[in-house]
Amino acid sequence: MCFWLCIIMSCFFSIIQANDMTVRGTQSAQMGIIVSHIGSQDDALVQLVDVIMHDVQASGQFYSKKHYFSVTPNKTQDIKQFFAQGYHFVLVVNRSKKKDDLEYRLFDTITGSMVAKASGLYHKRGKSIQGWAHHIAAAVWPVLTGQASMFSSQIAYCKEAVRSNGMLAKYICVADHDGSHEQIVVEVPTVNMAPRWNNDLSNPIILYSEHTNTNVRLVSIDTHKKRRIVSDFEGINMQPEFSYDGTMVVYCASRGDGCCHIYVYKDGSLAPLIVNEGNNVSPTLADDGHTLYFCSDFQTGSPQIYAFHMDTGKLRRITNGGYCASPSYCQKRKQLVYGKMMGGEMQLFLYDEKTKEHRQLTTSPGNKEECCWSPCGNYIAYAYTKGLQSRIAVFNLITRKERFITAASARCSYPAWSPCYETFPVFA
Amino acid sequence: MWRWLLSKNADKKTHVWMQFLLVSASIHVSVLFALFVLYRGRDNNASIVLDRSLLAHGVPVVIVARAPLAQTLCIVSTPPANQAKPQLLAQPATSVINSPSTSVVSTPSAKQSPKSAALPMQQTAQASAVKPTNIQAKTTVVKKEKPAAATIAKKEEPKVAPQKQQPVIAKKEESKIMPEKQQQHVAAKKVDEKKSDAPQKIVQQDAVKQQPIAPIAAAQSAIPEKAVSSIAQVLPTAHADQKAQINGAHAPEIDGPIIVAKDYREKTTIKKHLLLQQELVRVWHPPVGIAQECQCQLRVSIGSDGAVRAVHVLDSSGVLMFDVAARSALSSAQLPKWTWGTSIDITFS
Repeated sequence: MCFWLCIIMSCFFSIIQANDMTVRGTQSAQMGIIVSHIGSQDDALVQLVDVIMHDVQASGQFYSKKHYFSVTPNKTQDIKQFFAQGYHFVLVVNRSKKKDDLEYRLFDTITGSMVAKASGLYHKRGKSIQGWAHHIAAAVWPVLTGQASMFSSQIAYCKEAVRSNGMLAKYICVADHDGSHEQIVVEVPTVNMAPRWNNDLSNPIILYSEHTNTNVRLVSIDTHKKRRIVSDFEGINMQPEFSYDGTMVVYCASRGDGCCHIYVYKDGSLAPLIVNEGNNVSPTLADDGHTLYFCSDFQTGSPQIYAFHMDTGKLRRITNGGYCASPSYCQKRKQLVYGKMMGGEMQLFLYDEKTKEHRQLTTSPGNKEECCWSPCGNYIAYAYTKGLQSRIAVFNLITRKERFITAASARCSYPAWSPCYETFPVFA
Repeated sequence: MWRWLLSKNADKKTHVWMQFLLVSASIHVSVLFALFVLYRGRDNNASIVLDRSLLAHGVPVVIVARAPLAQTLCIVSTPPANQAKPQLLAQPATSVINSPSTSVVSTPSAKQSPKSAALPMQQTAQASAVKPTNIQAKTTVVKKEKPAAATIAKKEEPKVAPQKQQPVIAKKEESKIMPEKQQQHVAAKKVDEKKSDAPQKIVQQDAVKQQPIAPIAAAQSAIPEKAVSSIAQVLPTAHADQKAQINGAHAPEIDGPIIVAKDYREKTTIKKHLLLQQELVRVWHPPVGIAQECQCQLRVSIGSDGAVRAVHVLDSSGVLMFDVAARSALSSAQLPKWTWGTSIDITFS
C-alpha cells in the first residue's frame, strides 16, 4: 500500500513540478480602485473621499470611482462585485468611535478580503481635511505600489498679480501636489520670488527672496504667517538650500561684490564656500552632506553645472558646453536634474551620479526652468514658459507625461516642492 | 520456480499463496513497466521557461530527434502573440506531409502565410533528402521499363499533387524523364540497328540520371547529424543548405529565436506550454510604474471544467498591485484544456 502511495505521490509531484512557467509582460495597464465611505453623507467624509480619489489618480497608475456604503460591507460578495466592474481594490473610510480617529480599510476585490497592511486607524493630524486625506492615501500607497508617496507634500511657487494701483506684484503661493487648494502665503505688495522649504519635518518654513529698495533680502515665513528676515546683505540674498539633516544651509549672496557667491551657514557661523569671478547660483546639496552641486559661469562664460566636495575642496564640472542651469538633486534616486538649452529652448536633463551619464527627459516645445524634485523622486516640477504663458508643470517619471498644475491665465514661476511634513502645512 | 515449489512438496495452501504471490508480482511488474517505460510521466512534461519575445515573433518550434531518429525533422509554426487566437491553436494541426521519415506540421496563421506557403517546398527537399535510396530505385525502374516510364511519371503527378508531397521531385523527375524519352527514341532506333549495344547505353543513361539527385540526398541527409551536435547553430545552416539545394525555391527563413525540442514528447509539451503562455500573455498586463525586477510566483489550481479554483501566492512581489494584477490575469484567462484539473506554478514578471 505504502509502495503504491509513494509511486503515485512521486508521479503527482513530478507532474506538479513540471508545470512551471514564467510569463513576462511589457504592456502596462492602469488598475481600478473604489474609494468609498460608510455611514451618513457627511460633508467632511465626502471631501475626504474626493481628495483621496484625486491622490490615487495623480500618478496615472489607477483609475478611481467614488462609492457610498450605507452599512459596513460584511460579506465578501459586497466587495467582489467590484471586480466584475473592473476595479481591483476598494478603499473604505469611515469615522471611528474615537473622535480624533478615522478608520481606513483596503480590500482586494478578487478575494474580497481585507489587506491588513493597508488598513488601520488614522489619528487626525492638523485641522485640514485634505491633510487627513493625504495622510491616509500616503499610508495606503506604499503597500499598493511599493513606492513612497508625495501626497502630503506641497508645492510653493511665485505668482504674478497686478495691484489696484496698476503695479506688478509677485506673491508666494502654496498648493497641493496636483495644484488644488491654492493659498497665498505672502501677499506683500512687492516682488517676492524663489521660495524654498526647510527640512525640519515638524516645523515647516518657507524662505523666499523679497525685493526692497536697496537689495533682495532673504525672508522666512512659518505656518502662522510670521515673517522674519534671514539674510539682509547688500545685493542679492536668495536660493537657500538645507542639508538633509537640517544642520547646514547654503545660499547665494553677492554682498555688494557684483558677482553672486555661495555661502554656507553651519554651527552658527557664516562662511564663503564658492567664491570666484563668475556668478554662482542654484546650490543643491547631495544626501551625503559633503557634495554641493551648483551652477556657475566662471569658466566658460555660459552657465555650467559643477560638483564641489566640501571636505576636499575638489571642484568637478559635470556638463560640457551648452547653457545648463538650475540643478536639483534627488536623494531617493541619487540623480541630478537640470535644464539645458536645446535648439533655443530649455529642456530637462537627468544626470546619474553613479554612471556619470546624462539623459534628456523632455523634448516638448517650451522652456523648462527652475526644476525641483518631489520627495518621492517620481516627479519633477518646473516652470514652463512659452510665449506669454508661464505655468507650473509636473513631469511624471513613471508615465513620462507632463501636466500643468496652474491655470494658463496665471503667470507662475519658481516652483519648490516641500518634503512630507509630519503635519500637513496650512498657512493661516 | 513452480516446479521447484512442487518439488518441495508444499501443501495445497502454500501453493495457493504462492500462486497469488506470483500473479500479484506479475501485475506489479506490468503496471510499473507501463508507468515508467510506456507512460513516462504524462507526455514527458518538461519544465520550460518561455520568453514573451518568442511569441511576439511567431516562433516556430523545431523538433530535432536524437540519434536513433536522426532522420526526423519537424517544424511546428505558432501564430504570433499579437494575433493570438486560442481557438485556432486548439484546432488540430493540419499535417502536410506524412512521409515515413519526415513530417512538417503547420498551424494556420495570417502572419506566417508566406512561410507556410513555402513549407511544402522544404518538405519535398527533406523528403528527397531522407529517402534518397527510394528515389534512386524509382528512377532505375523507370529507366529499365522504357515504354512505361512516361506513363508512370504522368500517373505519379496526380497522386502527388493533392498530397502536396513532392512537387519539386515530380518536376525534377519530369524534367529528367523528358530527355529520357528522347534518348529512348534514339535508343529504340539504335536497338533496331544494333540490339547488342542497347543495355550498355541504358546503363550509361542511368548513371547520368542519377547524378543530379544523389548530391542533394547526400547533402541533406547530413542535416540531422549536425542538428544533434549543435542544435542552435545548425538549424540556420540546415535551412541554408536546403535553400541552396532547392535552387531558388522559397525555403522558410526562420528569423529570430526558435524553440528546439528533442523529441515528439517534448514537442507536445512545448506546444502545450506555448498555448498556455500565449493565453497568459494575452491577459497579463503588468501595472504601470512597477519596477522591472518585480516578479511573483503563483500556484493556480484549475478545476476539471477549466475554471480557476484557487490561486496561492508562493512568492509575493511585495507590491500589492502587482500580485493582484497577476491574480486578476489568471482569473480572466481562458486556460487551455490540457491544464484542466491540474495545478500550475506561474511566475509573472
